[in-house]
Amino acid sequence: MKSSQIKIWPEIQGYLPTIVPWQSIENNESDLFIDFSNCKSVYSSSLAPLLLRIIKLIVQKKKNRKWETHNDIISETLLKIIYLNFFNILEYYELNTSIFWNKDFAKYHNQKIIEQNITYIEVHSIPIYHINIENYTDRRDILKTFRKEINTILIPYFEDYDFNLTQLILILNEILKNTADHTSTNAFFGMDVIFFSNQTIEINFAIGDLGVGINMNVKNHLPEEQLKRYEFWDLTQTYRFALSRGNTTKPDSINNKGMGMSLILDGAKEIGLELSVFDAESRGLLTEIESLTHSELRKNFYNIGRNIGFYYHGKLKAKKI
Amino acid sequence: MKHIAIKEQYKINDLGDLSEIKEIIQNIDIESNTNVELNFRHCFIDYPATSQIIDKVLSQLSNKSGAKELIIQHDYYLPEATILNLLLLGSKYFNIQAEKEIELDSLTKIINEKISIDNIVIEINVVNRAGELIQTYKYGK
Repeated sequence: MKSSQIKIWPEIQGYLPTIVPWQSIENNESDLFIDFSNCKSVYSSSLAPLLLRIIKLIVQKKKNRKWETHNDIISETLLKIIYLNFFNILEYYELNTSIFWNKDFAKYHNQKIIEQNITYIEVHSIPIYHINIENYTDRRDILKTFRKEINTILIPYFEDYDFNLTQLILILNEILKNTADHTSTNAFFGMDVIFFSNQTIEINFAIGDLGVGINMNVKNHLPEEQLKRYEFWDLTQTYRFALSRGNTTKPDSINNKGMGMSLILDGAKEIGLELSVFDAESRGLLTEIESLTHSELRKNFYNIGRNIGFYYHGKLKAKKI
Repeated sequence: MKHIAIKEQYKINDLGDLSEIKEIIQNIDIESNTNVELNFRHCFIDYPATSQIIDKVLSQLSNKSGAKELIIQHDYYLPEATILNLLLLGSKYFNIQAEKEIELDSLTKIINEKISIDNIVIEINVVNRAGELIQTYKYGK
């Protein structure tokens, strides 16, 4: 059978990977061929959502896919994709599927990156952090390890640039807390520190999971009196529920007391973090929301036209001290 | 005034983890002071762990006679209700269960009633990176 080919180009930046049109390959059983050969640049915070979508497509659909990359062209971009853990994480999921990729190729170049101490100067990209929720017995350990990792990564930038590190960690912790509480699926975190000039950096991150997302989760846990109106609960209605203080679909949780989403929203606004949520078929500009009215939510959520998985994307600018 | 700067004195900045804060709880001592400043700047705070540090200080203060004061400093720019929940959910001193977020009115009522009995005032200060005071919340008399 002829393989389905996806050409990822010209760059893996921002939320572009979100709009890769997967529909054409979702419903057929052919091998999947992903071609990075014309891709000129790659960011960790953009590669993470792409990885998330590929894993969802291959693992969750339980299809026998071959996964290949162009291995005759060893571009700098491909080296960086290796450095960002993309292949290592795919290898983990290979255990459950028949994904194929050229392990020797990736291992060889991984080693080469380590030996040559290749670094990416204009953009400091952090290898994608695979948060293996399904393997932890105590989910508080996941959060503790995650906080420690983020703190260690960002401390050197915090020493030179003015941003609220503890509040940023609090927001990321709250996002992951929601993932750990509401799904048993794994999560992915990618981050880049972009140097615009000597004076300004921008921290970009993406954090998402393989779960059903907030929209579906809220719908699956509607209170009984609301179930009658299920068909009228559109995405803005579910987000009004999720973003309001005190609401939770997990009332018996140790970690989640229903202030997670409101904390994320308020916390992001206060420190100038531009935060979007990608969920179902929509992107929501969370920090643009001024009030939790139906019309305000409708104004800040727009339909992307295809199912995009679930993740947050954040941008935080900081000036040199 | 007894100054307790958690990060500097204990070299711990994750106050959201129960195992990390054990050492702080075991060693924190306000001695004979009746005015205490608990500095959480550059520390991660979260329930129910952080409340145990505050509990320890408040229980020591409540054993002293006369008027007492606790100042808590932190660097989070969040609504008052959110900060109080992060700091106090799970507090044994205030008898607040770590079950569900509590509304601001109920929380301030619980705080004011308890600290009035023990003759304590609490000030929660939000401080920016330069150490400047951004916001103050006062509880008690």
